[in-house]
Amino acid sequence: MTTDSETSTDPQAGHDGSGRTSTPVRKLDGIAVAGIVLAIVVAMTVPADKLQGDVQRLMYVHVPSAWVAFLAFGVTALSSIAWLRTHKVTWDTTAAASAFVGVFFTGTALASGMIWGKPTWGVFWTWDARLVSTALLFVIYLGYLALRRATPDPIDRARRSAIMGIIAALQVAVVYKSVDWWVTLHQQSSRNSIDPALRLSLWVSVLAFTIVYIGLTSRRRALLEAEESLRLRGLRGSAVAGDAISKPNLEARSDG
Amino acid sequence: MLQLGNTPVLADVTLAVDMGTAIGLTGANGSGKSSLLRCLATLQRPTVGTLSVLGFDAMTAERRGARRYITLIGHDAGLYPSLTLRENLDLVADMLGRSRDHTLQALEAVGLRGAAARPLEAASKGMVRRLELARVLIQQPRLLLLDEAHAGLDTASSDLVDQVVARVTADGGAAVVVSHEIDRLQSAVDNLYKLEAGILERLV
Amino acid sequence: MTFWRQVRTVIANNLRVERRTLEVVGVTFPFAVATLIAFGLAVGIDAALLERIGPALYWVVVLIFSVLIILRSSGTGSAAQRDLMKLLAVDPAVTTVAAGLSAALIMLVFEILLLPVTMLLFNWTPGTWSWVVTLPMVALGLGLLGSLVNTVTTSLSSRTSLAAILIVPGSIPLLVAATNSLEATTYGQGILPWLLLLLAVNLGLGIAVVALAGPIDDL
Repeated sequence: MTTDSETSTDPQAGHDGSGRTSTPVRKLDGIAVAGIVLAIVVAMTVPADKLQGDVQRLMYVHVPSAWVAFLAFGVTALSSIAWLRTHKVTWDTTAAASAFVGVFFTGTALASGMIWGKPTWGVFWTWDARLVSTALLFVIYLGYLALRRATPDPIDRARRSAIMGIIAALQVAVVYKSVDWWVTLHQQSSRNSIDPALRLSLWVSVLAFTIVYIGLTSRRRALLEAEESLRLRGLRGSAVAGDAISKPNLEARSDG
Repeated sequence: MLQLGNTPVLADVTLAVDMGTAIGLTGANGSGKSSLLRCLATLQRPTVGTLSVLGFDAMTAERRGARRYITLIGHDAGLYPSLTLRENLDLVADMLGRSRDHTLQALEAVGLRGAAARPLEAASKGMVRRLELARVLIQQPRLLLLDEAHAGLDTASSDLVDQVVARVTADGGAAVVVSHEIDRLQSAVDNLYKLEAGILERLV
Repeated sequence: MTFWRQVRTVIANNLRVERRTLEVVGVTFPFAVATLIAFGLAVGIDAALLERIGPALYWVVVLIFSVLIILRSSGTGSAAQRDLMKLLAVDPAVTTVAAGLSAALIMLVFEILLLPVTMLLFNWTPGTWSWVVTLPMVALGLGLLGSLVNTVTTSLSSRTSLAAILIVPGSIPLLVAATNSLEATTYGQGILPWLLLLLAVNLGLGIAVVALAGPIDDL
């Protein structure tokens, strides 16, 4: 009989079980580092925007971070659907790892956006559509991670967070659309056309950030799955719940 | 096997309940009795193993088919505290698609006719238990699961519990009764089991 | 049509419970009035400013107090209540849809009660018909979202704080649509996009409530 956690007792993907990370994950680390180095070199050598000056180079952090955040939450939503269909633990850990990394990049996008905003607009925070939506995105997924933390049982947690992962993705779509409308009603959109050289270097950094995302997510997932296999190993032959209750002994002294 | 969080609750349980019989289940606090009942009620899935309830495979979505024929009387009635006893039973009858005429009859049968208009939150523990027995009479389950069947009840109420169990089995249904009152339990059931630290053993 | 008959039965019971306990009308609503007064005092006696922010404060209070209404202790959602419904072989979608619609109806009553209070305190007149549509649409959206969040957080120990963080950011589109449809009518602009947004949100949530009822049933 196949049950939820019987299919889940093989959490070995991306992890060799000996406590060391498998070669594909390590290779990915190398590619990610190389990609980031390349992206930094390109971002610093490409001419900066004439009007904004060097501060415009923050775009190479801001835009890819925002993209990766979207990618990550998309992956979380799809993995949530996959978990509900298959009940395979790997989908749950993928959803969790992706959301975790996504929240990190949302934070990066938010911070870089605000730092960029200070010299450009004169203030850290402005009611710009991107900024407002990103802040809401951040909070929505902090809620998702909070729900995960609050649910002790692994299968129960997988189910609740899969449902929430799907709802959150729907919320994000509607939040973006509505904030966009809200801003166009209140102010002019600040989107400009970009120079082709800038666009190319932007693509390089987007690619590099994506590889970093994949690397971080697989590491995070490997960690979650190692935790799960450790938990299952600990379960075999361990005491059942009722064993925690022992024979009452009113005479017992703790200082004895 | 059933585990909740990081703790195994049921370790080794093999149990078959024949239709038309009642089995008694006893065991220390925390030995897994309530978890076993929740598994039998299809509200909880064993982590590993097989479970068939009334011919439905309870490990799959098929278990929903069995639910209509199961009554679980547990620690919490799950009824509305601010509604009256009668309104709560009416809700049960409505959801089952039964006529509300059964409600008053059932209240009469468990001796609660006079308290029908009392809000549930103003009812004593014994009255709530009787109300749940009235629910059994309305639902007419094929499988009756009773947790802490006699706990905190007077003799009359405990007798009523045993009578309702007998009614269900006489109609061809099965019952699993959890109780600490072994003497009383023994006279009310066909087989007696003890659950100790997640392992089930047969006593009688 | 057992589905809708059962939904109606559960809603009728939930409303009866509210009528008897008056948890929202008698407790949450006065609290909301106190909050509006506090807002006014914090802003100061600037009649023109208060008049301008009145509707915005109204919607913010509705949004935040929706958490209290959804988590009301007399509402459905205890694990035992859910189990009872499951063992009465009630379709899981009945439970989530009924919970959402009951919360929406109670929310609508709350909104309607709070509206004249806001008008009085902030000396402000709606003067547009859009309220007739936005009030029930926002109530419905909050009720459906609340039903989903309620079930996802059932029986967790940190349920109250969790539900708040899961409801409020996700319901921002409802707030945006409600406030802007009001503003749009004031300045003679089209209100249709905002109503469509409200409709889309409600439709999406409605589909989610029904589609996710199966997985929710396993909680």
